[in-house]
Amino acid sequence: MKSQPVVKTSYKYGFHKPEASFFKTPMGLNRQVVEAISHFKNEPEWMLQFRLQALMMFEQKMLPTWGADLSGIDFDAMYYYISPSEKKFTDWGDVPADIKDTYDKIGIPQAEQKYLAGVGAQYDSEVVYHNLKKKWEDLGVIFVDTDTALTKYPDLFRQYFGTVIPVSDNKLAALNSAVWSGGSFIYIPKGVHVDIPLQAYFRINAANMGQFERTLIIADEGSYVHYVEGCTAPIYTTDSLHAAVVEIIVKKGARVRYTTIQNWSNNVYNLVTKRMLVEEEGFGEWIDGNLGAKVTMKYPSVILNGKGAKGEVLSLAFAGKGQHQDAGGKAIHLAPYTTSTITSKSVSVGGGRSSYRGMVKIINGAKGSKSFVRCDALLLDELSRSDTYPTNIVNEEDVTLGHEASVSKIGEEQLFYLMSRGLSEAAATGLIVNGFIEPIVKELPLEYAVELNRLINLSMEGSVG
Amino acid sequence: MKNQLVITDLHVQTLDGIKILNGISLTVKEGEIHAIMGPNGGGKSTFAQALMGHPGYVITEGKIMLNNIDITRLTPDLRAKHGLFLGFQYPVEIAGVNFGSFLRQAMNENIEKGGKKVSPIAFRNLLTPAAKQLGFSDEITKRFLNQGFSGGEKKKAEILQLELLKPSFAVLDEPDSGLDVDALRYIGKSINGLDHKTGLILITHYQRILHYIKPQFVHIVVKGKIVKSGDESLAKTIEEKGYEGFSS
Amino acid sequence: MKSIVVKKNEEKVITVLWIGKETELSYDIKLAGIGSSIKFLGLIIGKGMQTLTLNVKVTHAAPQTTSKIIIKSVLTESAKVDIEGLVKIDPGAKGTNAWLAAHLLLLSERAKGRAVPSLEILENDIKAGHATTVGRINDMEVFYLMSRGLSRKTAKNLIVEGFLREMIEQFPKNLSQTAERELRL
Repeated sequence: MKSQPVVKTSYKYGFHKPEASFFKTPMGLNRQVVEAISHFKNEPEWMLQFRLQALMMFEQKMLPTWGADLSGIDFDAMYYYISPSEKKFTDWGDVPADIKDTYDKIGIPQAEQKYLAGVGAQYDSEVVYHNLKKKWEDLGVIFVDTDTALTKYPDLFRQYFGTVIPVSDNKLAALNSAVWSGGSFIYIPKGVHVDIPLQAYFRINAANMGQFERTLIIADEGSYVHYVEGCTAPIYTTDSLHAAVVEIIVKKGARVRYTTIQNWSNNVYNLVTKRMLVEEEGFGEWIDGNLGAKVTMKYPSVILNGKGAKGEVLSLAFAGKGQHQDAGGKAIHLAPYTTSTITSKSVSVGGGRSSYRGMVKIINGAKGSKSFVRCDALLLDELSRSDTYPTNIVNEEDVTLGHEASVSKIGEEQLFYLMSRGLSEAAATGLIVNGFIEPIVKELPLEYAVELNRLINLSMEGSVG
Repeated sequence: MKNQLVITDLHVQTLDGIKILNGISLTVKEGEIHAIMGPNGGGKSTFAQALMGHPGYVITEGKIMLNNIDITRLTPDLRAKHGLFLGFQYPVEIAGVNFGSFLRQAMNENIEKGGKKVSPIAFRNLLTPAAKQLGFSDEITKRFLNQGFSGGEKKKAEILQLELLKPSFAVLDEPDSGLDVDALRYIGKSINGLDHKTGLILITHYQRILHYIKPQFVHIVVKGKIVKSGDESLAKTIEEKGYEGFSS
Repeated sequence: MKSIVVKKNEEKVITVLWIGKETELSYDIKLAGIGSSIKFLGLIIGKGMQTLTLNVKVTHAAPQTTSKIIIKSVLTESAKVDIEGLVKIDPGAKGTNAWLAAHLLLLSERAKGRAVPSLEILENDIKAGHATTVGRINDMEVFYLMSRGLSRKTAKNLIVEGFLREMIEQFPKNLSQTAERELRL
């Protein structure tokens, strides 16, 4: 905790933005819109230039021709910046009934329900959160929203921002770079272990996640942090596109675990670029659950850049009616003795489609590297679809790479066995599905795991029998 | 009749029309133990599976009355709710499903609406002594359902479920096959020690288990029919002479 | 590109041995009739600067169809191989069984392999799986054989032969002889 100056922050509560006056850019995206965003946020010149360069890239690049169908996105019919205070619904009555019903059934308290649905109200977990925050600050941990970080920690920010995912990476990362707003900025000093998952106690933030949020995490040498983003509970949003960028730097011997559960409402295109750069003996883990959204394209990546670095991706996808979850993971081995594991579990039901898409690349010289990929898919009915698209590239002899995949349905014998004990078909199916995804769910914080199990049982009741 | 399992003229075939049972009738009263014996391929296991409503079999004629309720066409879960239990010959493995929470859920499913659910603590208090008697440690609750269980553990775990679910009638399909003497003794002890008046149908190929569990009635099933019924002495005859002599 | 259609209850076996002639091989296999089956055995032996792109696409268009695609590759020197497999199971192809496997053995530091074994499944009453392995000869296996008195070279050859044996045994005689000749490294 010595390497970075501990800057005392003057504001009282973490994620509260200063009261912004009403501000909304006109529909569509052009240079003026980007300039207006940067100007409104009072950003330094270099950030404006960064955004403008990204805009150029966005305009030049094509949408990916592989993966999910993105033809329904109309970039000209979108607002790219609305000040956060304008985004809240005014009335609990506007929240769709099925979402409220799900909140009740998975047992979320009413006060929290309103927050999750974006209806602003004071929520009493804030005090708990504030106390935790004080503890982190004493350790030199920085945990603020990304806009605040740009103002308060300009040097640290500029040193790492955009270094893991360059502006030119892909069209959506370029879009995010041009219009980003919000997200989390985290710095963990050398040797500091943050023992409580950041944000696990402050789930309400999930509801305030922006449309183009940008997250940057730097774990200095030998440090540890577990960051939890998103929410098992369904999140209603009127935004039709969520294009986030998450960059993580795991320094020598550090470990970062990043858990996401997204359950956006089914009108959202969820197209997120997530990447971790892992240095020598570091360990980067993604736990990535995709339950909601109309279309998801998300392949959390680990770039193993130092000797002995480790990466792990656990991907969970649940595709129901009208959904396409195109998810997976990537591991790029750039150094000797690096290891990666990718585990994917997907469930397709009611005409949903889940696709595993992944890549393992081992360059020449990454001696002694190991990679193992395991994909299991469960197809619950004949309307649904499952795909597996794994790419394995090996340019080094001294490696071990294994990949296994299976696609199956629920076994009749398993159903009969459980039903013979008195479980209904829906309950038995729910139990088998929960069992199928157990290897991933067990890695989630408890409250998430409990809610996820309940959600799956709920969706089985809706689709079986 | 109340407290009776009455099976009348049961005809069963597979989905592709192969006839397996050709009219089996059997009445089991509360607390009775019936052994069903017979050569392999005679239809013993089909009988057990069809009673529980296995989707691979069709009951073409006859009916099954359980405590005065016709369960012939019910789904397996409803048969269980009405008090029937099947101890599987080959218990199914289900990955990721925790044995303990599954069993507690099953117990709660079988409690009538409005009844008091079994709390995790109450469940533990019920499970621990029952598991111990079968030679399991508490660790079993943390394992996945039948996954990685040895042959003996699988059979014993079926009996453990029987004890906790307390059905009024249970069909045990070869609970003795593949067991060593110790496991057999554990199972015998647990079945004899059931503190409820479960009527039992014990399906077995060998006479061995009958040293531990004494049936009042023994039935011989050959080619999908009961060809002879008698008392315990019938089992002895079979031990000496085999199934040869019995034919439909 | 070779197009192959397998008819009702027909069982087809395709054996392919590549020893450096073509730079691209493509197979488009359609299981068009009920109960049809395909077994595709591909053996790739690459040396020198040889490169190959192998595409194998199998479509299960009818119920009760079976596919088994196994590709094994041994690469030495600067050989490079790119394997693209795709198994597609159409809606209604019930009772289908599909297996897709690609195994690459790299025997030199300069050899390069790429394997993309994909599945697209639009029917749930099926069994499908795939497996990929890429690696070099296991040192412990070499050590074990050498401890029995074999030279390193013999040990390695034995392991390579073992890796390919099951496949070579299923090849017609002329192909298996060619393969064995090529493998005498």
